[in-house]
Amino acid sequence: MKDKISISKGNLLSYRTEIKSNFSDKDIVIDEIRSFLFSNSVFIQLDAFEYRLVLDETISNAIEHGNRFSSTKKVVIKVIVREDIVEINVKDEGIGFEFEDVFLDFSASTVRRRGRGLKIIKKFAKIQWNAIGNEINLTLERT
Amino acid sequence: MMVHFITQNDILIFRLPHGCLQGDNDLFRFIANQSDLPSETASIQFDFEQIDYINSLGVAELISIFRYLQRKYHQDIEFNLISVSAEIQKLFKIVEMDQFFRIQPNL
Repeated sequence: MKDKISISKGNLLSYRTEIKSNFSDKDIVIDEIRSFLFSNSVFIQLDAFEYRLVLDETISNAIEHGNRFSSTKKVVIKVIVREDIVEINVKDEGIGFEFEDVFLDFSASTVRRRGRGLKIIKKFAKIQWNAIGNEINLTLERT
Repeated sequence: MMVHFITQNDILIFRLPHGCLQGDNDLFRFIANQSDLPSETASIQFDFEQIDYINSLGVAELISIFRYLQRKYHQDIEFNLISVSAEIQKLFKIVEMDQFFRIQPNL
């Protein structure tokens, strides 16, 4: 992991990091974001299990389905704390995907597996993709 | 992954060790490599008492195990996940795991 930045600009807090496309750094960055939020007294409307799950699924999708575990590709994770919400943006270097199809066609096993993860994410966060589907933005409500 | 299995009458019980299921396939490998599993069994239980976290990759691994054991025994074998925490039950409900397994809470 590198490029960890934790800055405060007026009322806006943000955090940025990037990890390699393997699962070994995933739990570390999930813990770091939790510490970043906690140390700034930012609390969200998810319990610890739900928080871990939604971040885990989002980052795992980027590593596995986006970057396909490529050693040359990174996953960039940004957190922006706003007045009522926390935005978590996860971007991979993959070619993207037709995200609407994931919820419609569960026939292929890859789609099924990815769909399961996205179903979990959708349960706990509002989500938005960029046009090609290699960048997802999660919106979490603050308490 | 150290997994213990026991048989009680015609029930095969796997006791999962403390930790997480995140789809690294250790559990699948352990089960597939067991040469001394009983040749016949009426039902299979996975004891989740020591499992405190599972993600969708862990769910996919469980389904792979389920399919492997269906092939090994028979299609109608009963599959139970027992002592499942409230958090993991919530996850199983989201991903509709009840179509594969009977899920029993941690009492």
